[in-house]
Order: sequence, then C-alpha cells, then structure tokens
Amino acid sequence: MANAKALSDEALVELIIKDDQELFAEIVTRYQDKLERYITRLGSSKEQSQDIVQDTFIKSYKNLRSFNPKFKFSSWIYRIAHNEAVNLFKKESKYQKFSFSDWLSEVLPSSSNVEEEVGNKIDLEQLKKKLDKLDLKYKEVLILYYLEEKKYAEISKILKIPTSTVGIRLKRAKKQFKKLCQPQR
Amino acid sequence: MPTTKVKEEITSKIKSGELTMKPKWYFVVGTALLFQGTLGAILLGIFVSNLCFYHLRNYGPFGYLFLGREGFSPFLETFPWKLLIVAGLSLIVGYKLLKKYEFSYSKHSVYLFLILMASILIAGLLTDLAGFNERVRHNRFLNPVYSERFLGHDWMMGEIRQKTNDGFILETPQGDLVQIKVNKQTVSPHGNQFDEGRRVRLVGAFYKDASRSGDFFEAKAAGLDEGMRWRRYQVKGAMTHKPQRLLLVK
Repeated sequence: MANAKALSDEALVELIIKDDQELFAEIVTRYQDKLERYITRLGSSKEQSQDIVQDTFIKSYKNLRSFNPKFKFSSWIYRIAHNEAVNLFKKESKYQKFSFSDWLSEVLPSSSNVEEEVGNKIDLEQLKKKLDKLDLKYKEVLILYYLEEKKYAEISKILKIPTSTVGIRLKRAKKQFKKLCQPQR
Repeated sequence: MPTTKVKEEITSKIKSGELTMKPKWYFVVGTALLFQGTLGAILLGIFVSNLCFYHLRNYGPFGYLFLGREGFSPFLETFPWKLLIVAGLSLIVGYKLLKKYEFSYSKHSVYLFLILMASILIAGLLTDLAGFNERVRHNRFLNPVYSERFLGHDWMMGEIRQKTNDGFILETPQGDLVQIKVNKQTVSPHGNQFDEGRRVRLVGAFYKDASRSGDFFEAKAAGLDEGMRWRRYQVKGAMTHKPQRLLLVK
C-alpha cells in the first residue's frame, strides 16, 4: 500500500488493471474530496454531490480499461464526474440553486484570487449568490480555473472544448461576474 | 459520506465481484463499430451528394425557373429533394460520430462541421465528374437509385432529332420520341433556333391529334441548351423503360 501511495495516478491505474483491483481504494482516497468539492461548487447539495461522486467512482472503475495512460487520469475522472453532475442537473433542472452553507464552512483556497480578479470586496455569502447567477458554462470554467486550480489544457480535456474556448469563456465569466458584483445603483 | 465509508463500499463491491471492470474487447469492439459507423456515414454522404450533383447536371432543374410560372412544377419534380435530405442526415450522423473521437473536441464544432461538409461535397462532385455514375447506373443493385425520367405529364427534355413544319421531333435521353408543336405563343427565353442536335427542355401539354396516329406535345415554353449536361446514354436493356405517349416518326 505504501508503494501505491508513491505511484502516479496513471501508473496506479495500470497496476489496478493488471494486478490488484483493490488498489482502486487509493484512487478513491485521492479524489473523493476533490470531486465532492467540485460538484458542490457546480451546483449540487452536499448529499447529492456524495451520491454523484460514488456513481463517478463506480463508472470509472467499470470503464477503467478504456482509460488511455497517455492522458492525465485527473482530467478523465473529472470529466466523468462533470458529466454525471450535468446529467443529474438536467434531469432535475436544479443547477441554479444549491446549498452553500457547507461549502462556506470550507475555506475556498482561491477565493481571494477571484476577489482580486473582480476588484471588489465581497463576502463569501455574496460570492455564492453571484456565482449562482452565472450560466453553467461560465460557472464551470470559473470554478475549475480559480477554485480547482486547473490549467487551460486540463479544463479543455474535462469539458471537451477547445483550449481557445476555455479562454473565451473565462474572459466572459469574469466580465459577467464583475457585472454581478458591481453595486446596484 | 466520509471518505472511509465510500472506500469501504467500493472495495467490498470489488471484492465480492458486484463491481467489475468491462473487458478490453468491449472497448475494442466499441472503437471498431464507431469507426465503421463514422466511415459508413461519411461514405454514404459522399455517394448521395454525388447523386445530387449527377441529378443537377442531368436535369438542370433551375433552368425550368426561366420558363415562367409553368416551369415551377417541373422544377419541383426534377430537383433532388430526397437526396439532399439523405445527404444532410448522413452529414449530421457523421458529424455526431466524429465528435466522439478525442481529437475532435480540440477543434471548434462549427469548423469541424464545415470542414466535414466541404469534404463530402468536394468528394461527391469529383466522383460525379469522374464518370462514376455512368459506369454504375446499370448495376442491378444500384438501378433503383438511378431510375430517371426525362418526361413528365407537362414537361420533358431531350435532343432535337428532326425539324418539322410546326415544330420538331424530340428524343429524350431514354429513347422516347415525341412530336413537339411550337407556335408564336411559345415562350423561349434563350431564342427559338430549334436546330437538330440541340438540347431543349419544354413545358406544355399533351394533346390528341385526330389527323395523326398518336399524341403531340404543345410547348408553352422552351429552354435551349443550358443546364442539361447528361452524357450520352447507352441503354443496353439494363433498364426497363416504357415509352410514354409517343408519336414515332415513320
């Protein structure tokens, strides 16, 4: 197990496929919190995000042999989680509202970056309300870039859009967010 | 749900065999089917767009629009609507399957669609220009696709075989011979030099002539030469065709 912790995601996946399927538990350890946080920020409740994450792990395990080790595993599993979340949102049409109370209790590591970017002093409660009003396609790039701290290339792989589109959506997301954050006259 | 609980649940499902990985062959077969489906849709798109070009070349349907109001009905009859729809559907299916490949998402969707459409159209056009249709149209499996008619109830097209006192004898590409009557009221936007060997499209009506042994076609409008680019037919019995309301030249 100590060996497994030292392996990269891609090497670990190869080992799981060839040798020891139970090592998948290490994948769960590495990604559960990250994926739950991401899905919650996208727009689900804490309880829903836990279910989605469990479904994500089940789906990723079943399809593990389709993973190409030339690519990053984190992009692959984030993509599965993203699709599961979006599918649920489409079914329930609830992606506009979510409970941030649990999310607020966590310190957003990059929230200060977001504030610096928009140039406004807002508290986290306000941040949540503003983020809620964004279109999903802008919200997801904003979250992945600032809160999940992913690079353009990885966001491109997760969302299956060209890298240039990531840049465009981020620019528009910041513009929209800045507009929302401006005080009402 | 704490991490340990999820981990335990997943691990126990793996141990018990409740959760299993799909076998490698499943993805290999999936990839092969995706490839075949994509290739099939694209090839169908090329073949059908090739047929569109073939029909547009043969019939030149837009030429009927120059013949006035009467030309609108033969335009609708000769324009390859169904082929265009099938070509469009093949393009859409091919595009949707192509989007499943990893390389496709790095290209803008609109550009990918336009590139695919342009490729299919260019390949279809080149296929027609290379004479593919003339070579395969007598094939018994493809015969239904190439069933053609150059003769409708109020329109026809063909080559002028012989001039007569009040018009000419027209031969359609399928060998039908028809007595054509033209008069001063016949609209002819491209001139009225109805010389032997020229190609002509006509709009009008069939009439019975009591003084002759068959029907004749009175032309209300006639268009010479343009848009009718069928290649010389070699009807060697491969297509069954019944001549319609002919007055055979004796």
